[in-house]
Amino acid sequence: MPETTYREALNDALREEMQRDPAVFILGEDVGLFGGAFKVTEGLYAEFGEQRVIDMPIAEGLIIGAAIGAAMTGLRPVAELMTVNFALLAMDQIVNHAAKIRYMFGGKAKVPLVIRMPGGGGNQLGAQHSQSLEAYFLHCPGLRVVTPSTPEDAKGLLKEAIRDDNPVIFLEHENLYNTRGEVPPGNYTTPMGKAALRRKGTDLTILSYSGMTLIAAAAAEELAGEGIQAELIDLRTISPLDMETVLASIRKTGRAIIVEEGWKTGGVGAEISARIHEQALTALDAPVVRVAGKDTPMPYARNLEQAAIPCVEDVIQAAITVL
Amino acid sequence: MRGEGLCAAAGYSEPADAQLLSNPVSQIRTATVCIDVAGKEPAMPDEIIMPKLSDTMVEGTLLKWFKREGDYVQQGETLFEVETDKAVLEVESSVDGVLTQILVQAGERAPVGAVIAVIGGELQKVVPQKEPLPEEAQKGGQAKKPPELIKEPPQLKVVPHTRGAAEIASARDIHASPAAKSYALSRGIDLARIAGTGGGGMITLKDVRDFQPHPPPTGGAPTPPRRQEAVATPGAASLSTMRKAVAATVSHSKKTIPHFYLSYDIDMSAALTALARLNQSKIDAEKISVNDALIRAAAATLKQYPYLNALYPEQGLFLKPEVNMGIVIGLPDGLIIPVLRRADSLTLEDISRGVKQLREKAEAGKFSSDDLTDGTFTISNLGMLGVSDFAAIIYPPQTAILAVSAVKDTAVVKDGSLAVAKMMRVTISVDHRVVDGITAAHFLRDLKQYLEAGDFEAAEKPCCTVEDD
Repeated sequence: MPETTYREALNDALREEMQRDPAVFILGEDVGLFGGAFKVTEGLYAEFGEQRVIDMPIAEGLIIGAAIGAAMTGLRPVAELMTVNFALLAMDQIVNHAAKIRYMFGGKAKVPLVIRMPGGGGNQLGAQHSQSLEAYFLHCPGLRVVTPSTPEDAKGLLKEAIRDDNPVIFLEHENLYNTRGEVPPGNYTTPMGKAALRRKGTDLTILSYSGMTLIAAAAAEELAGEGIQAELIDLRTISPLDMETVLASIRKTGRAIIVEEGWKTGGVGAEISARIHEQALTALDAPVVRVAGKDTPMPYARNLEQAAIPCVEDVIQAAITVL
Repeated sequence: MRGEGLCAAAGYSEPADAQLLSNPVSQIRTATVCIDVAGKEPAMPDEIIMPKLSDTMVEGTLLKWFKREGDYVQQGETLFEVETDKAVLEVESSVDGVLTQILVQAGERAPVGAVIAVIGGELQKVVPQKEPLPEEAQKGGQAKKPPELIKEPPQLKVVPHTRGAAEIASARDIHASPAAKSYALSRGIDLARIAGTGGGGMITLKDVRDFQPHPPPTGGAPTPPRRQEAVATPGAASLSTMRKAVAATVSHSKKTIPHFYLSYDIDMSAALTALARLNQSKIDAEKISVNDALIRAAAATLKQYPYLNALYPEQGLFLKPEVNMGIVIGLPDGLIIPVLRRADSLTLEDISRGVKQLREKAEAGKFSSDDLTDGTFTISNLGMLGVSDFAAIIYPPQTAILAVSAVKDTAVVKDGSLAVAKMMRVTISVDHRVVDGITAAHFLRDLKQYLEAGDFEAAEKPCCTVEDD
């Protein structure tokens, strides 16, 4: 299979969907002439023109508001927000409009909208530009939250998200853009709500998604060296959440840790942990442990920033705790 | 009131921000007291619920209230006495406040979790003070001191009241994972006997699986204890560890296994004659018993009925190639089911010797784990006590158990005329999920034919009737 970067996979997904469906268009800050702050939309302006790749003013509420209107009236917008941090400026549009319209119109209106947003920390961009806010979106009914970790999933899930009739929050980790991986040739999509088994194991289950999947995989590798077989599940989408796969694994291993970059309190891991306890208490042989970002605004200093983000050693420590 | 004084001292009119900056902790504390006692927002009433005092408790009988409505209850004071399915316990409150409402009166029953009383709440709801209880009178005014801030969420502490209560309380303290508890419960294993290796000494699933019972409190079909129990005092009593294990196993069995029962009357005349002949040349210690013959007959017959010689745990059905015969042995305070391995391939003499050894081990309380595990079928025999008819409870995950009653001289009709025969009733209890009545009936019919033929010498060759599958 050909190898591409996560960035190229996303770019391919956008191009293929725009070629396939003339209703698909892109809007965002610097997505056109500049090719996107992270160069994900590079080349699309030249290929599809300014009618389908629209540079927008620095006004996130406007970008999402316009995209919602377009989606309600028959187009399939893919909005890019420069980073997930700026989604806070568009929260009213996302939570009060995009997520609710289909319900409040009794299904007579729909919002086939994708909001692509890079996020995550580790690059010394400071507290306001290093956040992992997926739990905010997970909390809101009516939104799908997609968090791919591989180029293959990035492409397949973005195409699926564009074809989905619901608003999809599509979160890309900034540290993944240059990662490489095999991508199947041709036209494929990856279903939402279906986790991927990245590594088989019997001793404990490690659940992760997005950038932290790589950390979890490295930890699982090290654990294997110590004779501990960790099963690694990449959730791929945190809403919908594939509890079937998660619980099947835990019924086998009896132990689970959840690795996420976002804050621990009220985080994705908290939600998954609660569901595990509600649905499979008697399978548990140890408390579910969360490995998550420290509950603090992201420090700027490199050493402190690294300390605030889960690392391989943190995952191994958590594994030892539950074993 | 004290609260008003505190409000004044805190300077209620002073801008809160200024104080917060200078001394945030004291400001927050003072403000809380003001709100609490100034009556704007009275302390939330605490609902007292029927506590769950044992794993199996679903409801309790409230025997006695130590306080009356309107009484002030201090943290640590005994509040009520409750009778559970296992013992009588006193329960104390860790909440201070006025007992404003008693919802479940003495003598009434209430399910676990039901609100039985309310402490605290609106002061105007408080009923006028009644005659103080004697204990209160001794304490003087102490019991009527004004309410204080509730600092902790309400919690109930159990005060051990009887020996049973102490045992139950310690059982509740057992630190085991849910998976370990679930596994132990399904197999009647007592977690109190297991050392935990998990975090904080928690008992893990592996700990339970690795546990070697010495001597094991395994459960099974309940039979009356062989000897009279020690003089029992009426009233609250305790369950021994073994008794609890038996209780857990039989409850699990009856709750999860749909039992049905079939009985057959077997003429043991020929079998007894044959045994007498076999025993002629034997010293007493080597004599073969009716029970030995039954094991021989059942093991041989079971080879034709794999679904009665099977295990049906949650994971699914397992048909066992060999017959490992469980034999219920009553002990003073419970029972034990040692296993005679490969009973289907043993001669009558071997069976007799094996059973004797197991009985000796039971008396001495010395079993190896091999003696107690992997049973595939069980026989419970109360014939020696003259029991004429009974049915046993299946020992999970087995699918059947055979209850054997006494051999009795009985008037029967033979060839049109009355005759006296040595009749014995056997009753098989069967898991209907796995086996239907017709299969069990065929098994009993074959067992009857085997025993009524009384041809144990021919049967000495193991599995003479059926080849292995």
